[in-house]
Amino acid sequence: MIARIDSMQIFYRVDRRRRNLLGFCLPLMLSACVSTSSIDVPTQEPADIEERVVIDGQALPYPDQPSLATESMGDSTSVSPVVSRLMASAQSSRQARNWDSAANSIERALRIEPRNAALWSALAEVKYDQGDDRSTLQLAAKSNTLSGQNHQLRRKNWLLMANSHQRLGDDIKAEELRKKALNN
Amino acid sequence: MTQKKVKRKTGASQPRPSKGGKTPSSKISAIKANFWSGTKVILTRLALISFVLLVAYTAYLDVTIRGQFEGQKWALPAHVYTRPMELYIGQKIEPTLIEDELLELGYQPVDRVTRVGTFSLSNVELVIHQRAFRFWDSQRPRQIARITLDDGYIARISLVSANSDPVDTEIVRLEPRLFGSVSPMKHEDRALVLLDDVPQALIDGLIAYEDRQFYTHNGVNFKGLARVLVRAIQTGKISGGGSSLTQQLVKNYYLSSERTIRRKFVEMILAGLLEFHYSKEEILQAYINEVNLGQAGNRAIHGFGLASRYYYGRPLNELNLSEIATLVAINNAPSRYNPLRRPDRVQKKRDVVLKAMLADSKIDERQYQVALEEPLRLSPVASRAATLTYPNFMGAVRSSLKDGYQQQDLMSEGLQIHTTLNPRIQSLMESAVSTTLEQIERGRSMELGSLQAAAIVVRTDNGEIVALAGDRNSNFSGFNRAISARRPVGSLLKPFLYLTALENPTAYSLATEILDESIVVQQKGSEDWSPNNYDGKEHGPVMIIDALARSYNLAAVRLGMDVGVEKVIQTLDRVGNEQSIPPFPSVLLGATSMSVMDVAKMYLTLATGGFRTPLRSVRSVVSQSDEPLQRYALEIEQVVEPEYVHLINYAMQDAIRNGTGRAVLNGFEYDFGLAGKTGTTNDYRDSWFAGFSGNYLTVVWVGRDDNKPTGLTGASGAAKLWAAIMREIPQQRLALTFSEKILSQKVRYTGLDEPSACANQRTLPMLIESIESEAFSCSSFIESVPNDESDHFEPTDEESPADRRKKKKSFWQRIFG
Repeated sequence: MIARIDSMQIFYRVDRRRRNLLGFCLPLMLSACVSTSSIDVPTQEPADIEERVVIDGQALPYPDQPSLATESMGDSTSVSPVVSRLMASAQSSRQARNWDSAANSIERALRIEPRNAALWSALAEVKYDQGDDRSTLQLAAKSNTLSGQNHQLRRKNWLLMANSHQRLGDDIKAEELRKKALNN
Repeated sequence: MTQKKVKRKTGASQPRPSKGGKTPSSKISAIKANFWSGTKVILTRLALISFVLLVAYTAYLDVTIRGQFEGQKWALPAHVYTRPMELYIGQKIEPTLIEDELLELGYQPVDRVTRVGTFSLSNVELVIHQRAFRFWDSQRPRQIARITLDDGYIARISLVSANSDPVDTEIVRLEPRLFGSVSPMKHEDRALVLLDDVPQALIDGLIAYEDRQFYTHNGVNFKGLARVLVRAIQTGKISGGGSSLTQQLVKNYYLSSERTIRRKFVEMILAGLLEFHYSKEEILQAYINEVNLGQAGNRAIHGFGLASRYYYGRPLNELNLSEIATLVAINNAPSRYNPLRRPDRVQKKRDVVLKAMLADSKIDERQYQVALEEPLRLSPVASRAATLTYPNFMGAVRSSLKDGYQQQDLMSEGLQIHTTLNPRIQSLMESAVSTTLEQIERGRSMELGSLQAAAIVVRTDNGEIVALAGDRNSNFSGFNRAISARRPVGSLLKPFLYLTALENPTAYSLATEILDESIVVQQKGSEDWSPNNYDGKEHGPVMIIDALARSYNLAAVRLGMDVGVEKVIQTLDRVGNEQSIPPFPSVLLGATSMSVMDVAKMYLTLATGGFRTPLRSVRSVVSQSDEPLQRYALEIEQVVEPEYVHLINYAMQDAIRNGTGRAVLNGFEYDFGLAGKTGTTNDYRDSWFAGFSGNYLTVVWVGRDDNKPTGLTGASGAAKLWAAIMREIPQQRLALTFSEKILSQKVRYTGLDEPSACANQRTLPMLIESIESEAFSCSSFIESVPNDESDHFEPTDEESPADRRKKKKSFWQRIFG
C-alpha cells in the first residue's frame, strides 16, 4: 500500500509548477486505475506509523487479538460456526415465510459480526421477500459499504436493489443497477 | 379490642329482650314506662338505622374489596428484562464477566452441577444448569449447558435436557435478568406465581404457622383470636397475630399498619366478604402474590415469588424447605425480620416455623432435622441485583414503549419487555461516572458532589442503547439528565458543519485552507456578532482538518457563513436532529441545547458510516402467556454518502490523535482509531465529549445543575469521563468506510522558516473530484508541539479562566518586565 502511494505521488506532487502536467495525467491515470480496480485506498488496513497514536514517543500497537470479551463484535473473514448456525435457522424461518423470525436470527448474527457484509445482504433479502423494498434498498446499500473487494456480493446487492426499484416503479434506476452489476 | 365493636352492635338490640313487658303500677313506674317506651322507640330506630347503615357500609365494602381483589388479581405490571448474554463457539471468555452475570441471575456457584440454578466454572469448562425461559423467538427448556473452554476461548457447547440426548450446538444464551417493571408510582413489583407452581411446603408452612383453621373458618379465625386473647390476659401484653390469612390479605390491600378497633372490625367484615365470594384457593393465591415481604431500595417486595428472587435470586420452585420456612418467617414483619440485617433473629423464627410444620405433621422428623441444620444462605449478590433497577434506562424504555402501548396495558397486562440494556457495560459505566467525577472534583478542589453528568453508550452497528446514566448516583430515579437535560452543545456541532462543506468536493477537501480570522456577523434585527477563539487568537489560513481538530471558532464561523447556516441545519436534521433549530449564525458554534441522547442520534449516523439508525432500547415484547407480540426491527437509512463520512471521521480521528481530544488517549492499550469531538460552552458551563470506536458510540456531558461555570473544558471534563468509560468496554477498531472514490493524497505545509520549501507533508484521504479541482499550495504548517497546546486547543486543564487570570501580568509587572 505504501509503495503504491509513493509511485502515484510522482504524478500527485502538488506544487504549482506541475499543475498542468497533473491536469493532463490525472484523467488518464484514474481511468487506468478504476478499470483495474487497484486504486489505492486508505481502508481498514493498518495505517503507517505517523497515522497511529503516539504517546510519549511510542506508537500504540494494533490489537493483535481483537480484545474481545463477552459479547464481542469480531470481524471475520470466513464464516464462523455460530454465524452459519444462525443463518441456517434464518433460512428455515424464511422457508416457513416467518420473516420476523428470520430477520431476528440474522440480527442476532449481526450483533456478533456487525461488519459481515454478507449478513447485511441476507437481511436485505429477507426484507425483499417480505415486500419491504425501502428497507431492502437501505440494507443492500449498507452491505455494499462493507463489502470491500467482494465483487460477487456487490453484484448480488445491486441486482437485489434493481429488483426493489423495479417493484417501486423506477425502471430507469433498476436498469442502471443491472448494468452496473453486469459491468463490474 | 374487637369485642367492643361487637358489643356496640349487640348493644343496640339489647333493650328488646331485657325490657320486654309493660307493668303500669304507679306514677313513677308510669313515667318510667313512658320513658322506657320512648327510649325503646328511639333505640329500636337507632338499631334499625345502624343496621341499615351497616348493611349499606357492608355493601360498599363488598364493592371495594371485590374491585380490589379482581383488580390485583389481574393487575400485572409489564416486566422489563436486560439483554440476554450470548455464549458461542470462538468467543473469548472473560471469566469475571460471566460469573458476575450468572450470580446476578441467581445462579449458585458449586463444585458439581446437580440441580437447576447452579453453575461451575474452571479453566477448561463452564457448566450451567439453566432454567427454562421464554425468549422472543423460542421457549428454552430447563437444560444443562456444558461449555468446553480452550485457552480462554469457547471450543464446544453441548446441551442436555430432560427429554433429549446430548446435542452439540454453536450458541447458547443465558436468560436475561428481570430488572424492573412498568407500574404506577408506588414502586411495587410482583412476580406472579400461580398456585399450581407454588411449592406445597410454602402453603403448608403458611397454614401451620399463621392460620391452622384456614380451610375451615369463614374468614376470621375465632379460635386463633381467642388463643391470642387468652395469652394477652395471661401475659398482660398483646403478642400480635391471630389474624387469619384472609384478614392479613385484606390488611395488605389497604397498606396500612394502623391498629384500631374500627380497622380490625372492618377487616373482619372484608375477610368474611372475600370468603363469601371467592374460593380458598383463589384467596391463597392472592395472598401468596400480595403480601409485603420487604423493601429493596424504593421498591416494595410484594409476594413470595419476588421475595424468593430478592433474597435467594432464584424462583420459588427452586427453594428447599429451610429456605421456604425462612420466607414464611420474614412474612408479616419484613423489617423486624430482615434476613440481611438480622439473620440470627430470622433463623430463630424459621426454626419456629419448621416446628409448627412438624407439629402439624406437614414434615417428618428427618426433614425437620435436615432443615434445622441448614444455615440461612441468602444471596447478597441477588439482593444487590434486585436493587439494580436502572431507573434512567427505564426512562428510555418507557418513552420508547409510549408509542405502541397504552399506559394501562403496560401496568396490567403482564407484558414481558426485552430490552437492549447490557448490565455489564452499565455497571462499568456507573462506576466510571462516580469515580471520575470525584477525581475531577478532588483534583480541582471543587465542592464534592457539585458536578453532575449524563452519559449514553450505544452500539454503532444497530443503535441499541446498552447503557445510560442520567445522574452520578445510578439508583436515583429523579431527573433523568440523559433524556431530559438539554444543554448548549458548543463545538459538538462542528463536524456537521464541516461535513456540509465536504459534501461539495469540488469546493472543499480536508486540505482546503480556510481563514481563521476575526469576523463580524451582521444579523437582521439583532446585534452584530463577533465570535472569538477559545485562546483569543487568530490563526490565519488553516486546513479544514486542523480547524476541526483544534476546534477553531473563527474558521468555523467563516466557513459556516460561506456554506450557509440553513444548509448546516439541514445537515443536522438529516443526520438525526429532531428539534427545531432557528437559523441564527450562533448555531455554527453550537448555541443550541441538546441532551446526550439527542447528540447520540446525530453522531450515530457518522459512526454507522452515513446510515441514520434510530436509537433503540427495546428489542421485543412477549405477552404474559408467552406469545411473541412485537419485535423492534433494525432500521437504517442512508443519509450521507459513505465517502463524506469517511473524510469527517478521519478528521475526528485526527482530533483525538493530535487535537483537542488528545486527553482521551491516556490509558488506552491499543489504537482503536477512536474518533471524537470535544465541546465547551461559554464560561465553561458545559463540558461535552462525543466519540466512537468501531463498535461503541459514547456521548458524555459534565456540568452543574445550577448551570454555574465549572472551569472544565470538553477536554478536561467530559473527555476524561468518556475515556474512563470507553477504556472499560471491549473495543473494536474503527475502520473507515471503504470507498473507491477516495484516494490518499499527499499535501504539504509551508515550512516555518522557509515559506517556499513546502518542507513538511502529510497524507490525507481525498475525493477524486477534490484532487481534480483543488490547487494544493503549501499549507501553513501547524506544529503539534505539546507545549504549544494552549495556543491552539480549546483551553486545557491548565488553561481554565481562573488560571489565565492568574497568569495575566499586573500593571507593574508589565512596566518593569
